[in-house]
Amino acid sequence: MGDPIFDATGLSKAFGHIDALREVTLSLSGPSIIGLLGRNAAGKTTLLRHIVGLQLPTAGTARTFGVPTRILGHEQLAKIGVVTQTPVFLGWMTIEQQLRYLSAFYPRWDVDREAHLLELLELDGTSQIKALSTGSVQKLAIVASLCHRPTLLLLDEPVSNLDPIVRDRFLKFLLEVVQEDAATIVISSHVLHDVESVVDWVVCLNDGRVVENAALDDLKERYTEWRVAARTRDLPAHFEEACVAHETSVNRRTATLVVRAAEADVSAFRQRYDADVEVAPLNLQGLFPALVHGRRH
Amino acid sequence: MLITIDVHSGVPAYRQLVDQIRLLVASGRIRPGDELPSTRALSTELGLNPMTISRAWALLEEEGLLDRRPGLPLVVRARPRAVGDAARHTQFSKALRPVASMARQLGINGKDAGDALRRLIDDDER
Amino acid sequence: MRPRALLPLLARPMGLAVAAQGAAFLLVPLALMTTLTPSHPDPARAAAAALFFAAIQCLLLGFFCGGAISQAARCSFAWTTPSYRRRLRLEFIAAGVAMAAVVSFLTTAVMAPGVLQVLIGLVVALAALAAGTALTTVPEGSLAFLPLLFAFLALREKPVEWVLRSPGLFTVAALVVAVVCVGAAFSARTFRWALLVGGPSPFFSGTIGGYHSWLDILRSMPWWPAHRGRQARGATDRPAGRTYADTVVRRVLASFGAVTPSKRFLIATMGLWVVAYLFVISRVITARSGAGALDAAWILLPMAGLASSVRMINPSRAALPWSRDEHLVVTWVRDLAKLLWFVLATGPLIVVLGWACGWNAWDSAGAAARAIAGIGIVFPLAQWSTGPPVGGSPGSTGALYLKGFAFTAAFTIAPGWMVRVFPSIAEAAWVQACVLGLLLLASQALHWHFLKRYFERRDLVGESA
Repeated sequence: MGDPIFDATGLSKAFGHIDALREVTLSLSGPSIIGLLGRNAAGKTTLLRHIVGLQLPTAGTARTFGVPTRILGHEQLAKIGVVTQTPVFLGWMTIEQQLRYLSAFYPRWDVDREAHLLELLELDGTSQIKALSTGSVQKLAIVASLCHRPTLLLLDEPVSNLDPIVRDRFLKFLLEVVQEDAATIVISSHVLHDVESVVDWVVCLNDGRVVENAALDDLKERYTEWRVAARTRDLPAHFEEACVAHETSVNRRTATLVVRAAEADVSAFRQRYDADVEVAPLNLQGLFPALVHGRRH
Repeated sequence: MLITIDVHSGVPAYRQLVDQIRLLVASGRIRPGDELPSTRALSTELGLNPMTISRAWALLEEEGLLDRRPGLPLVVRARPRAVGDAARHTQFSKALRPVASMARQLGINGKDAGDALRRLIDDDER
Repeated sequence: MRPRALLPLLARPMGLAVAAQGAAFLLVPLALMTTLTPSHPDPARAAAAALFFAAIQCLLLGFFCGGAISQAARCSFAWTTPSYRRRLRLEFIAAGVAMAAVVSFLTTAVMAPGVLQVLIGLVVALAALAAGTALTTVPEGSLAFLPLLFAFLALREKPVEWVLRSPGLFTVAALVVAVVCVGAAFSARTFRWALLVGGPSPFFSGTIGGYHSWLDILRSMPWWPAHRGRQARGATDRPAGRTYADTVVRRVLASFGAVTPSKRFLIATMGLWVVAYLFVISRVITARSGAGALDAAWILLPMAGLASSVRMINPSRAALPWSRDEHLVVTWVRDLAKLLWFVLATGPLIVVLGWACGWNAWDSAGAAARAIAGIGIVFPLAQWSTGPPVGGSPGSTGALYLKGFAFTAAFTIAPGWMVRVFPSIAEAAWVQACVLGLLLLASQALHWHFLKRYFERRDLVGESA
């Protein structure tokens, strides 16, 4: 796969007495579509800002394209495309003017892709940015981030304001981008449904730390769901087994658990609690609490 | 191609793809020597991440089902090794597990469950 | 390489308006001075004075330029576009040198031709342009404006003497200022801050906005200690005994409370603000003749009026459970309260303290009252200029720039006219009082009328909100 596009070692960032990132050691390489997941204020946006050098670590190192983020230069920035959570553009310009303005700064600007994206996302190039709705500004941010054919694309909640049809088109377009440009795409989003449909790798943050860094398929194989139905005895309030990663719901007669498949022994569990266990696979929505919380309800 | 992948299922996408390719080969819908669609075409058609597809291809190649040719799409091996009775039966048993669990909960014994299954399969064939 | 970074930001309708205004303010007085030069006793001094006048114009152009740059710096693409800062800086320097050359040639060559004068002019004009840009882009620029205004008021004509006495040293100093300002305006620190803090550039809201915004501006500074534990408080912080705002008075008070985090801070800053201004200015100008004191007073009173009149934009007021009529009443009473605060408290305070410091800008209580009343009459203009009463946004930076300009002029002309010209129209004191009272009532009635129309017809929330 080649050199990592972004790597961080012991990356920590503190704002006053709040630790936004704690000892993050991470290496992102491509081509790949990476889902950056986590609860609110887990540090996702902070991490993305570190990748482009907008914020600098208080401890540890961060390098993008092998260059320390503090001194990122023209060559590296020309290969990076960013969609921020609340995009801001020059309101008095029209969409076309804004894109023309930006195209002057990049060594290559794919005009065909620009036209294709404007059509795909249903944007009218002559409309003034001041008058656009939030969703349209987000669409513009998407177009502006892709036209220069970046090899690293950072998307922070890129589709939160898009309607389902456009959303679907955009996610499918990402699949083309990852192949055409051999790009590494990092999507940070709460909409797990969308993330799951395109992502092959997952990085999960919780409270500033990396709690998961694995392929999505591996995560699906690592965890399973057990639907437990008590037979004669009542179920306990908590299941102490080490293999139980998360208790989704527990009451006296039924329980739903997220279990680490490798360590789990179904028949022993059945015998111990005198209950029926149905084993089912878990998608990302079901996995998420286990990835993030661990044991808690 | 007669493949449907549900990315939102708990079953990993690459595994679904592998299972379905195996099924297609085993049932004869894909014959030895047939070319598989390019990763790019399949990615567009199924809306799947190309890495997922590559992983499935790699696994199938390792199992001996597919052959990789430089610069050309993958092709089903002339004499596939692994797709035999054992693999087909394993796939079938896996599909039956949730049904078995339901049978247990409803208090239906193995013999009655087997009869019910036999009736369904025979009915469909007719 | 074609200039593509800075020029498109400036080449917009607002830019042309500013350029036209700049040209008019520069060329017209110069033309006048050209016709007057032969009779001037000291051509060098006149040239230096003309140069400083031109430098002020460059400073204003720098404000516009910096406003455009800070708007671009707040765009999402500003940090990640390759070499964006570098290109902006290069084009700025090129354009700045060209413009400064033109300005210096126009001012100095007309009066006292000489290579030295032209060079000095070039550097001074460039320094002024760079300073104007830095003030609007650099985070601390919004805090530096008022101290610099003090310095200007205090020094007044001293810089002219410095130029004439030691032109070389002055030129070097101006060059250093230019280099430092350009470096600061386009630094990574400035651009990072702009993108992370977001929101409109605090320069315009800070200088014209008055005390309300100071705490917010201070909080947005990169060196302000972050997260002082205020976030630890729970979501429902309703203090015990907080009454339900059902009457107009209670609503007005509650809406003031919504804007400033602490009433005590508000009062403290207002008091400090007035005292600091007067202290510094009086210390410096007590040694001077009455003419200097007059100018300082004429700047101070209108500024106090402008700052008091600013209406804080609080879009969430649209969400309050009030009918449109209730909004109307609360807004009008709020604005009236601020007017009364100025007319009855801040204004007289400035006058009294000014007298104590030895100013004679208003030689009688009548003149002072007329000046204050003059500002009071145009008060609603400034209140409308900061934006719609509820919802919406204050408008683009360029529009704010022009509005600020226009209303500063109105706030200076109105009291001046009241003090100088008005007595010649109506001599008796009681006639004056009646007329002024009527004018005040009329302006408030107009204000009410426009507010009523606004609340009857307009959307309380902007379209893209």
